[in-house]
Amino acid sequence: MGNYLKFELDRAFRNRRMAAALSVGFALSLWHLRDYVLPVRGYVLSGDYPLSAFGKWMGGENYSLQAALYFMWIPILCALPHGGSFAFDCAGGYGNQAATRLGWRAYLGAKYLAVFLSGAAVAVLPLAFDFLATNLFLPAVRPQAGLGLFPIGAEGFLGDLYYAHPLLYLLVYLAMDGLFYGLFTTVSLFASLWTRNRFAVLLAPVLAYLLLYGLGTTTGQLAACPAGYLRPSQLFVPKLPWLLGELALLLAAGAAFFGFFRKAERGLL
Amino acid sequence: MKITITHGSKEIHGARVLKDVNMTLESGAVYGFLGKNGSGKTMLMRAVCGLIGLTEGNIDVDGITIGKGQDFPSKLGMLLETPVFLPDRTGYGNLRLLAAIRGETAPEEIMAALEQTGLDPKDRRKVRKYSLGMRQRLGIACAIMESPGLLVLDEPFNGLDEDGCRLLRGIIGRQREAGCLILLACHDREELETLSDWIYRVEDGVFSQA
Amino acid sequence: MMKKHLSGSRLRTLIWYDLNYGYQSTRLKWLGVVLVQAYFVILACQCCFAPETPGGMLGHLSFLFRGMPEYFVSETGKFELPVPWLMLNACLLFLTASYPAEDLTRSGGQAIVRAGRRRNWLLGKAAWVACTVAAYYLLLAAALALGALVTESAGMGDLATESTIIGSPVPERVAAESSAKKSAMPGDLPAESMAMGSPEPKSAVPEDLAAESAVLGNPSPERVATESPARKSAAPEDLAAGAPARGDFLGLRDFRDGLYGISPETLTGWEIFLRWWVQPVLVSLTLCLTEMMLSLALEPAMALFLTLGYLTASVFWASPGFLGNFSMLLRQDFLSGNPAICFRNCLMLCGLWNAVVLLFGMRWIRRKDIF
Repeated sequence: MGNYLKFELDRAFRNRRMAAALSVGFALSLWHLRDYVLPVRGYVLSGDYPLSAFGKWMGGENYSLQAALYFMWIPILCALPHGGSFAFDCAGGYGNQAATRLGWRAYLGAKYLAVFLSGAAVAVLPLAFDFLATNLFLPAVRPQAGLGLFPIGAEGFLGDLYYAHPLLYLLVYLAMDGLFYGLFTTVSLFASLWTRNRFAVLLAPVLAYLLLYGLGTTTGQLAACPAGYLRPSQLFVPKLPWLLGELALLLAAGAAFFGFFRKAERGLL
Repeated sequence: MKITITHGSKEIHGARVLKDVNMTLESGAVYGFLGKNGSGKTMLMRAVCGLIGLTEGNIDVDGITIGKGQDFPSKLGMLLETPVFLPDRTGYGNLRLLAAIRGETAPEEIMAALEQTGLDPKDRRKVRKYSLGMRQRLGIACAIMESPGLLVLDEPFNGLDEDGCRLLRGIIGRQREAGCLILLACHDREELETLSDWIYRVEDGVFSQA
Repeated sequence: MMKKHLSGSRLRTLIWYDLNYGYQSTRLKWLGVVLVQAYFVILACQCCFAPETPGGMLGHLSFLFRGMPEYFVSETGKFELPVPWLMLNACLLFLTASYPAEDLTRSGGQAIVRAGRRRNWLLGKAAWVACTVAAYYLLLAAALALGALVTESAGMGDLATESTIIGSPVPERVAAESSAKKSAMPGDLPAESMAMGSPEPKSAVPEDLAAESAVLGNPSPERVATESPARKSAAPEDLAAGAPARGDFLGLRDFRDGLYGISPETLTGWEIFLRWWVQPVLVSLTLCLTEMMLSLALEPAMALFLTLGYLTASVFWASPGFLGNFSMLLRQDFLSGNPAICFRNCLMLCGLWNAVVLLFGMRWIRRKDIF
């Protein structure tokens, strides 16, 4: 499986769709820098508390259009590079070729990992870039609770970590984002079991994402909205039960993909 | 119908796939194209159908240039690549839908075309249940159902069994006798020599009469 | 003698083909659309069901398409998207995204060669998009009618309660500007019409409605009270008095009686129809046609992403250049004071935009290589 995994990763990362997805993410980041970071770089010390990169980068605030665009529509960007590859493989007969040589478990395993990693990369790399770029212009001053300048509540989810070790908080959140968005991207694999339409498969993650957002905001259960709680600025404060519940749901979709396929083995071979 | 190709060339991403093609094609004849994969046969057929535009030169059908005076030849029937149909409809249902665009073909003619290819017009199976050979037959029926004046067939024998090949030979013969201009690409040299009145050898985008 | 199947012009038969084929291709998506519409209509009915709150078809439609007031960047504020408006628009974009591109490539060009002219094929697709948009809104109207029939809701609440349903309060700056403009506007808009954000004290607002306003991007009642003490006292007793009896199916009487602060002299029934129904349809049609062209030039997923991104940007910028503003009620000139967001501009911009897209598209499709 190791060699085939390398091949799948190559397919996932070295293609124009990955370039396009990352370009959109980086473009949003640069736009955000231009509109919200560069204009204030001369005013770092003008307020009661110095402006901090932790509060000004795209993932660290709740008020910009660029952040709203990024976190609302990121699942479609994540699915774009490799999300439709399984549907494509099955429709074209390539899946048969690979599975008969590898065994279905190895093929599906490699596919799942490649899709997960490609989705995680598209989600995290632009955010990491944005934070680093923001640090070029603003100092990484430790956030201070109680000033109303930072969006995280001190008693909220990982609030103590944010105010004590903000960089660690950021790394934890980026890892969380990578995990969740990678798993959302694997929803496209689950959708591939039902349809070979590449468009529908690519949209499955964003539909799941929007469905949770719509249900959460309209029923008042904001902690269920990944578009809110996956933002490091915590647009909606995460709650552990919802976090774990949705994580379990996403993992279940992955398990269903493998389990379902065992029964549909003949369909592939 | 008369097709004249004058200095036809096509370039895609820097690669010349058709190089200075000159030929005159007339009704009531079968023109065969023989060449390796990627030599340019399909590309020329697409250009004649109006699906792609030439980088240089012209294709005139009855004096009207494709891409200028008209977008596609009138009375065109084509089979290019593996045909794809709506999987949730029957074969007849798919053809009826396509025939409705021109609106010139009666249901009886569609049924007759299906019977010519060995398919049952009353078959209630959906296309998703069809084998490769059945889809190929359905594609052939799609090409001939509207009494075409120009019939373009790219590898029509793919996936056909012996009976299907026999039926297809009969179809090509009847269409030629009816005055249709037929372009035929095939890998089987013997088949091409049997069916064609003229054969063009294709190599790296260059067409020469064999 | 063999009967000919269909007579008529090629374009007409092409449109018939597209309606048929397009429906076949999008059957499952329509199922999703029905579910999404049903969900939001039920939500609208629930939110508009309390006796003090307005309802009827127009009340429910207002809930769905209210959008949000102009957004002003504030470091302590939150940018939240108006979910019903966004989801209903996104649904339609999803519905129309893939069929045109699929038809071009799926059968190797069988449809387009039968069309005779490439532009005919494109116009057929444009007609399919228009029919899909029309069918979508008809379905929505039917769902709203059903909801109104079921709830029989038509009461008119006081303005304070109403504001928690319709939207967040108009920021003070706009309110001040609107007051200045008020003298130039026809009719006599009451000051309360600009001060829609003055909810009653929390105890008077049903809990679920307060939660609804919070989650849908409206500031909390306490914050509003702090920010706009002047508006807080503008409770319109005159509007609350003499509320019409329930059973107003359309909800039109509520508007005529001054619902949402709109006085009868400001908007006629015909204008209400244009603003509440025709404008969103025009905007949707324009966005869907643009998405169709993008899907042919790029691919359906990218086209959907770009169009959704543009739609989302409309929430952020209250400018006529972002067409989404014309389908958000809270951005309309008679509510926000922005004279650029009016029906005339909507008609002009959408018409121009559609003409450019189609003309450019016809030119582009002529030269496109189809593989």
